[in-house]
Amino acid sequence: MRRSRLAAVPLTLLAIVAPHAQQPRDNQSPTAAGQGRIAGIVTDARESRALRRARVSVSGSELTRSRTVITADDGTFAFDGLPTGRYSVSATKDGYVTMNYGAARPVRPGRVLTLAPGGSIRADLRLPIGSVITGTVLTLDGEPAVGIAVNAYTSQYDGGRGERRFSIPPTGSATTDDRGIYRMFGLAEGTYLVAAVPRFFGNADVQILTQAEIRSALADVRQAGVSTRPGMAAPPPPSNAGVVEGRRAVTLTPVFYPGTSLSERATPVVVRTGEVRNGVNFDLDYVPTSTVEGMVTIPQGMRVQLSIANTDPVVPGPGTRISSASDEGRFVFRSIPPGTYSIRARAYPFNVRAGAQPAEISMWGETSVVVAGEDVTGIALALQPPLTISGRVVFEGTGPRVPDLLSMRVPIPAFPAGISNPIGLPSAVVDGSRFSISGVLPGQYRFTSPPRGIRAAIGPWWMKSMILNGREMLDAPLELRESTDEGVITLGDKASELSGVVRAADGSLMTDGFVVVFALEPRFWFHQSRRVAGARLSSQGKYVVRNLPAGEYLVAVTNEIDLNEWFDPELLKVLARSAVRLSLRENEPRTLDLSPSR
Amino acid sequence: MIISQHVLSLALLVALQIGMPSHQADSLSGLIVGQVVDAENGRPIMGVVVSMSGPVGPGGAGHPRILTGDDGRFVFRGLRRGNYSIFAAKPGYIEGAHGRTRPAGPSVPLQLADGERNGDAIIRMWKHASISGTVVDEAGERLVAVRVQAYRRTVISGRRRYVPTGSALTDDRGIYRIGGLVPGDYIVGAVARQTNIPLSMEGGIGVSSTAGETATRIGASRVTPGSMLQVRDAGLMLGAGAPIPPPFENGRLATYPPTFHPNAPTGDSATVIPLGAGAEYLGADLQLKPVRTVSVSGYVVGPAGAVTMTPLRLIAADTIDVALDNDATSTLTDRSGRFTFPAVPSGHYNLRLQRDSRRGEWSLSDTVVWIDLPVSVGGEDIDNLVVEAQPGVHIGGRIEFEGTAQSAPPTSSVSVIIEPADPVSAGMAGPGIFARANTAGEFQTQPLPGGRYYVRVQNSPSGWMFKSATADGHDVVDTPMTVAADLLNVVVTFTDRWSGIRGIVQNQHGPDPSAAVLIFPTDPETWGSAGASPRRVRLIRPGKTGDYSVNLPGGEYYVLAVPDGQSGEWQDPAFLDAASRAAARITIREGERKSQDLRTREIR
Repeated sequence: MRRSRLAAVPLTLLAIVAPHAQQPRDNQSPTAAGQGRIAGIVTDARESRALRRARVSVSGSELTRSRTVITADDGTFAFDGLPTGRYSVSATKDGYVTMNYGAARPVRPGRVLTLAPGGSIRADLRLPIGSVITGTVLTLDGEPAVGIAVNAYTSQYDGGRGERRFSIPPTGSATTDDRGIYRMFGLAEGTYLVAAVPRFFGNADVQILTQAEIRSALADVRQAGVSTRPGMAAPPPPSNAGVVEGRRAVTLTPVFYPGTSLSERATPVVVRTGEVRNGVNFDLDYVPTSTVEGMVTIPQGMRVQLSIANTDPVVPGPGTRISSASDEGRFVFRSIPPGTYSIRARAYPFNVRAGAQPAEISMWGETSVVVAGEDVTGIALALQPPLTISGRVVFEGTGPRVPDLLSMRVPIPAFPAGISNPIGLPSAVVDGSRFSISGVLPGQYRFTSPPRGIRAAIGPWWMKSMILNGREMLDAPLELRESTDEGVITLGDKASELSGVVRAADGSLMTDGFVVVFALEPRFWFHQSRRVAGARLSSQGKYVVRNLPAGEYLVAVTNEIDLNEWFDPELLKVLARSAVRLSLRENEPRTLDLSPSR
Repeated sequence: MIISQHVLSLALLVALQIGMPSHQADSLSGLIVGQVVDAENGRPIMGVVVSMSGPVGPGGAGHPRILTGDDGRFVFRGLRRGNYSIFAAKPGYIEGAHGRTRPAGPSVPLQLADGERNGDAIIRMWKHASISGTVVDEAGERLVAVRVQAYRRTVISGRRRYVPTGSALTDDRGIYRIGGLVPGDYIVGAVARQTNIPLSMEGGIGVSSTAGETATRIGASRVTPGSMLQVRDAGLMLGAGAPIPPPFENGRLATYPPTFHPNAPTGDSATVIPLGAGAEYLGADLQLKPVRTVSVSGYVVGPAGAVTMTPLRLIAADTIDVALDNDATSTLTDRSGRFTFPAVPSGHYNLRLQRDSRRGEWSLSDTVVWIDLPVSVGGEDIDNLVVEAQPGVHIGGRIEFEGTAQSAPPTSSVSVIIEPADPVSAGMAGPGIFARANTAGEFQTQPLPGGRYYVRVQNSPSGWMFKSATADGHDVVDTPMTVAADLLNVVVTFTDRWSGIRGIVQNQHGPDPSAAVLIFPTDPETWGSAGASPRRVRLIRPGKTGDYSVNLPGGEYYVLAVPDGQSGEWQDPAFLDAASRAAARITIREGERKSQDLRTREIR
């Protein structure tokens, strides 16, 4: 709070120093008549110092490509000859955090500038200086660990998958030098998990000899002495049995700060703008690997393929490994580093290729296993057939019935992160007033786009209800655990409609940003929930949301979000603080004009 | 060459005959116990991964990789007799290997007899060295994310040349640190590659298309806001280690030319940094200053019309001593054959058609054309340059045998190598081009870019020795030929009158298999211009009993044995000069085999 007040003073001063005639402009042909200009200055957000050699880009639908200019020694820039239209502007400089014009935070979309014919717009950008995380990675013997990648992971809502996911920002990666020192810079302020990630971790293990084995080998050599030159009678060969027994198979695995191989036990590193965080150090040690083995029941006439995948949500390495069960059903995975894993088994008829669509999979099984340096044996994996879900389609209304009613986009099942190629939910088949979906693997599913009929009607029809085994599936994340043939999908030809405009404090219409409407109760805050909606403001400042079920809602205005980010419970928690409350009745048309949330 | 092949096959035969019965009796009881030590102080090294390749164990299992403890020890048991290569890896160290006696020296396999217990497999490792410094611009502002490249002095084709060996980006303080360097002589410089694309092709970048693929090959992988500066009809890619240039001034761009520590525009005037194992050189600072540029543009026309979507490079003409060709300014021709280099500092350049490194052949899809055009750039733009791309040239000829006793062998077993004579030709044509002779004894290459080439052979037919290759009566084995048009009268001759030299190498303790035998002509003129695999400048490693043998064409030679540690510079004329003073001088006549025993001595 205090910081922003301090920063505000120099900003007013800067506003007086208008960009002058000598400012750098892009190398475009002379300004055509009636064309406009966007100009400004790039400063350090904290010190308000002009930033030279920053790259400023403008893009907009009127431009075939984005244009870039470089700021002068006084931080100024200008784009001339811009056609009338809507533009966004961003600035970047190495060591600083890239910002979009008008955005309060990094990565966020900024404000869209509307350039009138012959108009001129002042667009100043303030870049926060990047934060630094630095430290040393040592091996257990205290020597520098050279060439180790150190990554900073930050979690962000993935609007496509509907979950918070960890990813490495562009500047969030560094490699240790010959002293074991790494330094990542240009980071936006925030919370990071930091991990030292060996390059080929878990790839193949190495063995550590026991002291006894070394002593015994040295003794064998001494005993041989000069008398056992080749061709001469050698003493009986030393036995290998028992010697190799004591060896430990080890590998390197990622280590999270301050020293754990599991991301959930990591201590987040919080950095403020421009902060240099020293001492984020790591000790890298070889850890024992394990053998994971068990039995799977093999259905008659089938073969079983198994895979094991690390399910750490942050560093899901080192990749999925595949194995086949023996004729007796035994499976083995060797050299598995410590971590949490998911083992999946699929049975295929002999005439179906591996990796076939779920409908062709006859049997299926999954289990999770924690590996902690000891061998894991005796896993029993039972296979079960996939589910079939079917039932009636009920139409409440008089419109013509649409045949392709349920061809919803294939959703992504909610398997843990890190499992590549999750198998999607098959499409429904509708025959008259009955629907059926077969070949469904039990589990949680998430829709990658709104289920049809929820936010947009299918012809005249709105999706009203989907009841399977007595549960309303539209009011909770979709979870399919058992087969049924008594499902009921209800479609209606009426829907609620919430609409209105957003006015700024000065009474002008806002044409940029989103209105987010969401259920009061947090239990409805899940991905693609029918009780959560985001509506982009039109160029006339209007918004409209249809088919919200009756209930209590909150409404907020924001331009600091990405598409689908309104399904993120973390964001809804923040928006709830500045939201307006609203009661909506079944199929009710409702008008609600709003002002921007503060 | 032929003699050694014979000796080898004889040895193999003997080994096989002796080996057959004993193979069955192999007791699988061989044992190797060794230790990894720091070459500088002899201390054991912990945390080294030791791996071994050689005859596999029972059941075909490979050998485990061993992680050393604080005693640096490793053990391999249950071994068959045979030759084992042992390697040791630890980040921060140069890879160690059995028999390696200098940081980048050769490895020697460990020979294990049946049931032998070898207890002294010592593997030495050398620490990497590093160079660090700070990079600032003309205003003293520290430059962030700028690439600094280290170049190590090597001798290629008898020429000293600095080749890129490591690089690093500056951090937020403008500091860079290049680690992982092997001992040697270095220069460092900020030498950022400038990549441009025709704006008309920008839409194709990053998508799956010929234009996109071609652009990706020159490093213009993706255009995002802020990643490209529009200069006339070209896009100059920003970032990727290049300093951000100053803003346009009167429509002109200034860029940062290559700068070497301490403040040199070329590699020749840079300060040479000698680095020992584990050395840490601090303060290799750089200050970069922008220079005004002009634009160079035009069209490329080949025999079949416009040469389109083809990478072009503009290489500074003084880059023979420093291998900057990979960091040269590059662009593509567009769909009409037009190209623009939008920001070129004044100087002398060569415009070249860039070899397609990905496919390992030159860059045109259907016809081979090449360009090697000198371009002088001054203070004014060069517009509408029309560059004619030449069609590829063929080199060919016939094989001849000069036999006294035996009949000529089938010529189809002969492969002729056309070897580029200088780094420039190699940059366009690759390290060597093979042409196999037909049954009539004729050979002809695929089309090549014009340039300077040697003609050599890959292998001689059994019982024959490579004697000469000539074009128009001139030697082309040891003296390169300049080829600008088809050259189809090369004569490659083999003889059955072998000539060469053999002998035993000894030191004060007896036979010295660890030495290196160096043989080179007495004429210093030939030392520096003999190509990458010269026929008359040879380095030979003696056998286990110190014996050496080599085929050589007739001539006057120096011959001497040096410790292996000194053999790394054997193609350096300065080293040969010093070596010549300690060498024996011998004359080999045609068909003559000389004997010369040697005593290992160090060159100072």
